[in-house]
Amino acid sequence: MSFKFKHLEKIVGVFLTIVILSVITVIVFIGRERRWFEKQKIYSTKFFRGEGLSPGMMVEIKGIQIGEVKTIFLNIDNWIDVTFSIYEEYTSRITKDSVVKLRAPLIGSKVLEIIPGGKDMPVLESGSLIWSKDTEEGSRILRERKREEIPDEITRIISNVEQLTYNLSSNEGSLYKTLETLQGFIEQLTSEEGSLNKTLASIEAITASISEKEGSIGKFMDDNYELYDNVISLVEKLNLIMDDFRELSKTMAESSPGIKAAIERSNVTMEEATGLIRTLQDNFFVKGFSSRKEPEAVPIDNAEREGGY
Amino acid sequence: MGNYFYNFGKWFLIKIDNFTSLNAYTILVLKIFFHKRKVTFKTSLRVLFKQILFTGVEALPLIGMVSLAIGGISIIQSLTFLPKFGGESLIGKLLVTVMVRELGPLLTGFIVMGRSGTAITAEIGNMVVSHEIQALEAMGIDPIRYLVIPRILGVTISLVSLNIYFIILSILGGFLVSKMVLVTSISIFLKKILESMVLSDITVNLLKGFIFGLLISVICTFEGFSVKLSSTEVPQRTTKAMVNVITALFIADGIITVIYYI
Amino acid sequence: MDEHILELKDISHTFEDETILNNISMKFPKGKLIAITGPSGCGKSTLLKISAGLISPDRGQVFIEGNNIFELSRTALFQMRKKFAFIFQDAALISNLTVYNNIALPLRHHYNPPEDEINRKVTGILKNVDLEDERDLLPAQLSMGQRKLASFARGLVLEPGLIFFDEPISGTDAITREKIINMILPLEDDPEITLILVSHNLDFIKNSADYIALIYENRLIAYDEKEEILRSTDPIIQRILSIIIDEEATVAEEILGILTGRVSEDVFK
Repeated sequence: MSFKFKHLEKIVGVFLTIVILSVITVIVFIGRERRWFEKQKIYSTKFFRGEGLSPGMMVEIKGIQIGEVKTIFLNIDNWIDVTFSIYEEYTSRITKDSVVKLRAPLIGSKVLEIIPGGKDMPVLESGSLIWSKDTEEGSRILRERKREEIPDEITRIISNVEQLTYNLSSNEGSLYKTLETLQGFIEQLTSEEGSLNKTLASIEAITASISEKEGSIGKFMDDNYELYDNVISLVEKLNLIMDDFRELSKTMAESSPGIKAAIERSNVTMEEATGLIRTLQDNFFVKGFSSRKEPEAVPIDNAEREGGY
Repeated sequence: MGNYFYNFGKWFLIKIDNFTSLNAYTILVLKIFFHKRKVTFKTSLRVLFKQILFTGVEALPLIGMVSLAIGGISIIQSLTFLPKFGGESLIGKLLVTVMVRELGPLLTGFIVMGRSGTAITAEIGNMVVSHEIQALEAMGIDPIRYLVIPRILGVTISLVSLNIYFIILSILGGFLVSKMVLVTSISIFLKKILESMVLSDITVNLLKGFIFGLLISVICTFEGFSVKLSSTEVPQRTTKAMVNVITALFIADGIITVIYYI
Repeated sequence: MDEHILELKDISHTFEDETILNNISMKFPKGKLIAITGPSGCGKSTLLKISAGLISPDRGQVFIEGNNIFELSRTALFQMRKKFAFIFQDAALISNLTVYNNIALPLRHHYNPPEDEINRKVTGILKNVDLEDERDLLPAQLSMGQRKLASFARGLVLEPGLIFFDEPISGTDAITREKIINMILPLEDDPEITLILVSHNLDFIKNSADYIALIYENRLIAYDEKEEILRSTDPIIQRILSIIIDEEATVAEEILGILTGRVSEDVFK
C-alpha cells in the first residue's frame, strides 16, 4: 500500500509534529527535574502543630532535598498527619530511629528535616511512620542522640586545635614572632651590655655610694633618674609584649572557641611577664620613684631611712 | 439629560443583546460540534488543514521574528536591573514567567487575530452578502459545520502550536542575547529554564492558547455572520470583531491568571 | 390538487418595520411547476426563501411533506434539505471552490462517495449544462449566465424532488436562457419533481407553468391554474399582469444594453 500525501498535508503535518514533540520533550524534562518518573517511597509522620506545613514542601537531610510533602491532614486527635515521599536513592537512610522535625531557615519557607537514624538500624518500609520531634518517642530518640553526639563535639574541637597548633608552630604564626621578640628582649636583659646589667651595676654603685655615704644627694638623684628611665623603658617594653599577647589571645578567641588551651598557655606566659613586671615594680627603687611628681620627698625619706638602717 | 440616559440604556441593551447572542451562538456551535454525524468529515478536514496552513504555518515567520526579538529584548532590559554577576540564575525564571505565562499567549493571540481573525470575519461576511451561506444552507450543508467548526479547530490548534513555537523561539532569542552579554552555555541556560518551569506554566500556556483560539474564532465567525445585507458592513464588522477579541483576550487572560495563581 | 408537497400557512414577514409579506397561505401540488410572479419588490423572493426554510417568518408555518420545518431540529432540517434544491438569483456559488468542486460539494458532504463516482456524476452534469471547459475555473471567472448554469447543476446533483428557482432566467443572455429553459422542461415532465419558481418573465411563465401565483403589495392576489389566471377578467389581475409585462420590457432593454455595451448595474440588483 502506497501513501500519497498532498503538499498541504505534509506541511501541516510537520508543523503539528514539531509542536507535539516539543511539548512532550518539555514535559519529560520537567518531569525529570521534578522526579516524576523515579520510584518513591511514602512515609508518614505526625506533628502537634501545623504552621508552615504545605503540600509540595521540601523534605531534606542536612539541607539536601530528598523528597517532598504529599498530603496534610488534621486527624481526629487534632494532630497533623503528614505523608511525604522520599526519592528512592535516599530511602536507605530512612532507618528505624529517624526523626522528623520542622525547620525554619532564615530565608525561605519551612522545610521538613529528617534526622537520619543509625546506620545499623533496619531500613523502614514504604508506608511506615517516622516519629516527629513533637512526639514523645521522637524527642526521646533525639535526647539519646544528643548524648551520643557529645564525643562528636570533642573530635570537632580536637581537629580545630590541631589546626591551631599547626598555625602556631608554623614560622609565620604570630606566637612564634612574639616568642622571638621575647627571646631577643631576654637576651638583651641578660647580656653583658644589656641595660639590666647596667642598671644593676648602677644600683650597686648607688647602694655603695649610699652605704659609703659618699657623694651628694643631687648626684644620687641624677643617678637615680637614670635608673628610673631605664626601669620605665623596661616596663614599657613589657607592656608592649603584654599587648602583643592580648592581641594574640583575642585573635585566637575569635578564630576558634576551641583555642582555650593555647590561650591559657599564653596567659601563663603573660602572667609570668606580669609577675616579672610586678617584681620589678616591687623593687625598692622603682617603687620609690614610681611617681615623678614628688621626686625629692619620697627618695629622701627612703634614703634617710635606708641610710638610717 | 434624560436623553443621555436613554442613549446609554440603548447602548447597554445592545451590548447585552450582542453578548447573549454570542453565547447562544457558542452553544449552538458546541451542540453541532458534539452532534454525531453519519458521514465522514472529509470535506471539513480539508478546510481544517487549509485553515491550519493559513493561520498556523504561514504565521510562523512573523511569530518567529517577534518572539526572537521579544526574548532578546526582555533579557537586555532585565540586565539593566538584574545584577551583572549572579543574574544568570534569574534569567530563566524571568523568561519563563514573561514568555510562557503572559506574553506568549497574548502576543500570538493578537498576531493570529490580526492575520486570520479579521480574514475570517471578512470572508464569512462576504459569503453572507453573496448568499453563499444561504446556498450552503439550501444544499443541506450546515454552515456552522462546514465553515465555523473547521475554523474554530484550525485557529485553536494553530494558536496552541504557535504558542509553543513562540516559547521555543523566545527562549532561543533570550539565549542568543545572554550569550553576547554573559558567559552562559546552552546546557546551563536550558537547565535554568527547565528548573524554573513547572508543569502549571505549560498547562497555563496551553490553556490560554486554547481559550484564546476559541475566543478569536468564535467571535470572528460570529461577527462575520452578523453581516446582513450589504458589503459595506463587512469592514465595520471586521473592526468590531477586532475590538471585541482584544477585549475578550484581556478579560480571559485576567481571569485565567487570577484562577491559576490566587 | 391531490397531493401537496409544500404548504404555507398564514405567512407574515416584516423586515426593519417594513411589511414584506402579509398573511399568505398557499398549497403546492406535487409534480407541478408553480410560478410565483408579481412586480419587483412585492416579496416574491422572500416568500420563496421562507418556503425553503432559509428565512424564518415572523408568523406562520411552512409544511414540507407534512413536517413543520421551523419546528424540526437543525440537523433534521439540514437532512431534509438534501431532498430539495434552491437555485439563487445570483447563483451563490462558493467563491473559493472551482466549478467542479462546487457541484461536487453537496455530494461529498452528504454521501461522500468514492472520488471516481463523484467524477462520473459531476462530469455528466457539467456536460448537460455545457460547462465542461469551465470545470476548473473559479466562479468569479464565469459569466453570470454560466454561474446560473453551474448553480443549476449544483442543485440537480443530488437529484432533488423539490426545486426552488429564484429568477432562473433574469439577467441572462438569450443562449443561456435557452439552455436553462431546456433544462427545466424535462424536469417539468417528471411527476416526482415539483418546481417552484419566481419569475417576472411572463412569456416564460406562459409557456411552462402549471400554476401561477400573483403577488402584489405583499399580498397573494390570485393563485390558480395558469389558464384560469390568464383568462381572468378580474381588473386587478389584469393590471398586475400589465405591470409585470412593463417591468419585463425594461429589464429586457437593460439586458440589451449589457449585450450592446451600455452597462447598467441596476439589472443585477
